[in-house]
Amino acid sequence: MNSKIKLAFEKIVGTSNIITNDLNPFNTDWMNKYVGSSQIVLTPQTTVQVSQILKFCNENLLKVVPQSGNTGLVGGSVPINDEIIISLKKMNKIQEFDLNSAILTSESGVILDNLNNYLLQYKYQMPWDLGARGSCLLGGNISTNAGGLNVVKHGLLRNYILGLEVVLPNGKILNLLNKNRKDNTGTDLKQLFIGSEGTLGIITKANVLCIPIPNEKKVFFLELKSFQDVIKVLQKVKRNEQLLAFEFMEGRILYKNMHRHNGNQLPFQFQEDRYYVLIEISGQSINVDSFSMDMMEFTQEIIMNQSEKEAQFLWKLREEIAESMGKMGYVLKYDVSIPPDKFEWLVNQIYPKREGPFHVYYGHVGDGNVHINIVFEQLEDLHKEEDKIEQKLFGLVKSEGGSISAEHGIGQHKRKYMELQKGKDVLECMNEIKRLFDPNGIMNPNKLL
Amino acid sequence: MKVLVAVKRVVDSGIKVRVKPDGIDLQGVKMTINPFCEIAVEEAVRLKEKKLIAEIVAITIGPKQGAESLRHALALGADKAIHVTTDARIDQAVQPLDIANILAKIVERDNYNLVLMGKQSIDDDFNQTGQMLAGLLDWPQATFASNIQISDGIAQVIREIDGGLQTVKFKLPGVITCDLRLNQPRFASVPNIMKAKSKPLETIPLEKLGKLHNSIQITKTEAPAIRKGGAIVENVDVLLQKLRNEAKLF
Repeated sequence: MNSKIKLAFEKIVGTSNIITNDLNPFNTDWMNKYVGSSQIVLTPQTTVQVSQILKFCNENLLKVVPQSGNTGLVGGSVPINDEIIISLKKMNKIQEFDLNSAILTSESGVILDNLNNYLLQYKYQMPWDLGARGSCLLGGNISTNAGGLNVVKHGLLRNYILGLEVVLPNGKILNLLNKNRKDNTGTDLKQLFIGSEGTLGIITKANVLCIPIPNEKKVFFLELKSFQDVIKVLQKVKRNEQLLAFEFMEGRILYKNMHRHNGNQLPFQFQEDRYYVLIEISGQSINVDSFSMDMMEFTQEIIMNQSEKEAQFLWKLREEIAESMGKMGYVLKYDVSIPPDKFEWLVNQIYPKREGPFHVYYGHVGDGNVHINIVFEQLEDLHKEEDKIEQKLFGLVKSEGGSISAEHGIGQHKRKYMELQKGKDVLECMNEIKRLFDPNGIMNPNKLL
Repeated sequence: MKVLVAVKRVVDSGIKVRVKPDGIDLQGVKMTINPFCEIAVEEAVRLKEKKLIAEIVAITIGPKQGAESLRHALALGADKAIHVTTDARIDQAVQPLDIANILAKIVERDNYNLVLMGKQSIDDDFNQTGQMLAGLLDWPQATFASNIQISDGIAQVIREIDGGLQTVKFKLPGVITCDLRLNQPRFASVPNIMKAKSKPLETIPLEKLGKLHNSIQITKTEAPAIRKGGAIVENVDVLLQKLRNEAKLF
């Protein structure tokens, strides 16, 4: 690391906000799949510091990677080479919550869980929820338009962002903050930054519309004989406004994970050829009976939680799938959108008769979003198969009018498929906007576009 | 054989409690069956599945929401339920000796062979009711059960005690209180929850069976001190200095 550069950063953020040792956790993504070689991590504490950093980097053509919780699944949050990592974790002040408008104003480096803990006193919560809630930061959620578990009821994250403060690659601070529920005053620039995966600027503050904490919640776990039954149940209960989450899982992974819960009562003796669904309902005063009757049209194998502990355990069965597969070997992870009734067909196209390496499909069937995980014992085998599988999978997804990335984003992983997904014209338009904001190409290079 | 299972409704252990000067804030707080009572219900159901008992009756004392815990017990496999109604605070004003006296009345009325209950409730941790009930009935008791065998009218119970495990045997009828490792309660199935709605539930106002004497007064409720962060010390000298000056150990 050039000493002149380090000195310049010291002047901006001070030595206590510069890290040059033990950079492995910053350089490596959550799956240990993508590893960069950055020599320096900066942890600015104010928007002005972020602005000064970017101004300096832009003038000196230094490439940067903005990093939040580093929980992304497509290699978007780690450097590819020795880009300078700008970590937002110290921008962690929650500024205020307006109880009348339910609008939260916060810096972007606050952990999602901490936002919810803060909002608890007002009986409000963040409008999105995901497994990484204990580590992911607000800015990372916004810049990836994080999806998660409750989209089926609450919709997309971007619908809840009313305002942003963004620092552009040239250091200019763009004040798009807004605490009004309604504001029709021109081009909605903040939408460009939401989901842009840190390629257009760094989000430093946000105004978020929050939602009331429901009075009542219940979690159901169902055992079904086939994937088509999953779809039938979904079609029936989707009409019910109480539906908060609808997640499906294959018996084959729940069966494999049973040993992780020795001594704990399971909702069912999981069977490999069955399908399991976790349904959560919420409301200010929920009607469990009518919901139960709806589900019982399709199966008698339904359990309901009686306590918070049971609810947490049932969710654990769903949320541990990704991690448990990671422990089995090297995992190829896909996250696509296609019409839900085609999930089973899609997987069978990749692995007819479900032969081949151990693979599982599961996820947010309520949103038409399926996660497909394929485990390889050897890293070489994964690399050998990766391109072949992806070409086939993404080709099929595209032919069904789907999306190659429902919620995880593009990052490094799916960059080469952007033209397939978006087409030349759309991609060129995206690139023009990128060039407009970041003419020197310093902002999270070689990601997304 | 008929079994009476006593269940208490308590604040859900999965949520954070809020402390008010006069006790735990129960306003709008999620409540559920006491974990040890749930274990007692599960054990009764397993004994019935083994055909060692013929009928399970669940009983609770409390306000009208208490019926939810009885429906839970019925959904798990109890046959009937008894709801002794009172609006007194169940976590403060409904106390072990009074509960034991009321349960004793029901035991004498309905002629049970066995009473199962949790060893203690997680709100007051008294761990007295089962023992007092056995005393009032002049029945044998086995507390902290981690294993229960019943055959030919004899109960053999393995108890968890400080020194390890103790096995006791007694002729029924008797009282057994249940500990954590006795079993893992099953999830309630939705069809069973629906069926439970039509199982018999008898309601009796508390005054018909007994009285609440409030012989124990709660004078203060406070949250534990907030845990201070730990620190890694560089060497033994610093450790000794902290033990002396901060922890004031010597």
